[in-house]
Amino acid sequence: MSLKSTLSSFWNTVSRPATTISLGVISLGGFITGIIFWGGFNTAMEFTNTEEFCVSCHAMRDNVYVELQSTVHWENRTGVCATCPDCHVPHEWTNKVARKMQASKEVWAAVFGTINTREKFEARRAELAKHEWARLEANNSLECRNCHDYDSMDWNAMSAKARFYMEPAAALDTGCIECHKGIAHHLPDNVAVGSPAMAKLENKANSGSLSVGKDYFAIRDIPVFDSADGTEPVGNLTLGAAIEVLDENNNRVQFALKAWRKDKGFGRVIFDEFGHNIRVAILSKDTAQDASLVEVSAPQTDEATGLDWAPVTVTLWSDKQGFVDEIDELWNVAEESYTANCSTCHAQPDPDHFGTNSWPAQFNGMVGFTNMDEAQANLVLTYLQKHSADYSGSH
Amino acid sequence: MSDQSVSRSKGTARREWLSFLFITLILLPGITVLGVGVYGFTVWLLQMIYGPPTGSL
Ligand code: HEC
Ligand code: HEC
Ligand code: HEC
Ligand code: HEC
Ligand code: HEC
Repeated sequence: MSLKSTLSSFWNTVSRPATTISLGVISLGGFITGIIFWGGFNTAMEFTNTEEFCVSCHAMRDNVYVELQSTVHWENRTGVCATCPDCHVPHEWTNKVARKMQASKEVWAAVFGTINTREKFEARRAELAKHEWARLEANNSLECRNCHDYDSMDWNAMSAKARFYMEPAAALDTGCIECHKGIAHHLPDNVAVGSPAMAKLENKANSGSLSVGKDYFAIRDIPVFDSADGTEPVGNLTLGAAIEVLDENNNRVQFALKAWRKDKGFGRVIFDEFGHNIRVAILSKDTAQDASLVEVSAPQTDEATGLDWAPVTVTLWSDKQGFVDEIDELWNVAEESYTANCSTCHAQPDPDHFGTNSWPAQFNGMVGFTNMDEAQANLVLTYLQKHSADYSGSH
Repeated sequence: MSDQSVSRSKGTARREWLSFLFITLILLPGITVLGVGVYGFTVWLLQMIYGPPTGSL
């Protein structure tokens, strides 16, 4: 019997009134299977919303589950606990169904084992955590607020620190995840690294295409040497240092760095501009004192501090990697990072709200609240200093 | 003649029962699950285009 004739005989049967089954049996049969189906459907939905189901995948069990067990959401004085779906699965029907379908990605990943070892999981964790953060930031930490509510918080019962931060946050209705990351599982180690814009810039800088006679900027710390074939670094350029390339030799370039230093001590720290505490290089003591490498001109006095600053020209060698020709590309990355990290609790202050020399204290008091790693923090601080009130006139 | 009509009504009963069970147990549940699934995927797709759901319901 061909498929076509099966279908047409099926159609013939169902398009006519039933002749041998009574209307009562058909209605009852439909009604009962409907009930059974609805029950089964909901049971399946419920079952896939249990902790047992989530941890039936070892990828979920061996990593995040064991970590959860050491937190207050697993076991506490009152016995009110949060399970995986409480925090991860939307409660509203449409979004819940969408999340379940999204889990087809997880099934796929489970079949192909993208995170089936601890190493693979740790390597992917930053990515997965970012998905969750993005979701909770977008819905203003809705899942947390199914249990927690600012209006029900007793500020007097809270620690002074919690109150100091959370009372203003409650007034602004800030989501919990902005400040409470890593409350249920370990935080990813490599969380702040890998801003895509920075990665792109680094790729460009690492191509190492420098030409003699042109100006370039360091986008990170770069070791420097006292000759074309020196093996021991004699110091390093820091982020934002502006150099002019004088000569090249294999993978090295000789450069001149025109900058300033304070006329006291060994003068190991080189600054960008007169009177501004923005570092561009740090040298070893011997190098800093070597007149053939660091040429010093007559000092001038900074009225504000009474310190003498001397213009210097540092002539050294470095590898070709780590420079870009357009400093603005670096500042764009910095600005993006500044906005992303410093606007969660309050509007981020304009860079020219403070002077170059007062930014470090302001910034260092705050940076602990963010996820920035040292390199990123350094970049953002340098950006702020270079766009501070001291520069706003000239920009 | 009467033999034929009995055998035809037997065949009809068989076909009707098979069709009834197929529709209520397989076809309609299947379509429902498929429909919910397609709906879920559509919402997910829209969320990827228009961003994830926001807090205000
Ligand atoms: C079939 C096995 C399996 C089950 C069951 C499972 N997961 Fe996963 N889950 C995975 C895998 C594999 C990944 C990694 C996905 C990837 O690499 O993109 C993952 C990723 C995640 C993520 C990261 C989110 C994202 O968007 O990348 C969360 C959150 C998560 N699972 C929560 C849950 C919860 C809650 C449950 C129970 C309702 C659950 N999982 C059940 C295998 C599973
Ligand atoms: C199922 C309900 C529930 C959900 C969902 C939930 N919590 Fe909790 N949370 C609790 C309970 C209950 C406590 C208090 C436990 C105790 O101290 O007895 C708690 C405690 C806390 C604490 C205090 C931790 C400590 O060490 O004292 C923080 C912070 C917190 N939750 C943040 C969050 C965040 C952020 C989310 C969303 C990702 C969230 N919670 C989701 C129920 C929940
Ligand atoms: C502006 C940042 C910020 C936001 C937003 C925020 N918190 Fe907090 N929260 C803190 C700080 C800081 C602490 C103190 C942590 C500590 O003592 O180490 C804290 C402490 C807590 C505690 C413990 C209180 C205690 O006295 O021990 C709970 C519970 C808590 N937060 C829940 C929440 C919930 C739920 C939300 C979202 C509705 C939220 N927080 C939003 C910064 C914030
Ligand atoms: C109290 C809320 C809460 C509970 C309960 C919870 N999670 Fe999470 N989970 C989070 C948050 C918040 C993140 C985002 C990353 C972070 O801040 O640590 C996250 C991240 C994840 C990730 C991404 C990888 C990572 O470590 O960041 C996975 C996978 C995950 N959770 C699975 C689970 C599973 C499985 C359970 C149940 C055993 C569970 N979660 C229980 C709040 C929770
Ligand atoms: C966890 C929340 C949080 C984050 C993230 C945060 N801040 Fe703050 N910031 C505060 C709070 C709270 C205050 C005190 C506000 C007050 O006293 O009114 C403050 C005050 C400040 C002030 C002082 C304002 C003034 O006029 O004196 C500056 C400047 C500042 N923050 C800069 C930053 C920078 C830069 C970053 C990014 C590195 C940052 N903040 C990230 C919570 C935060």
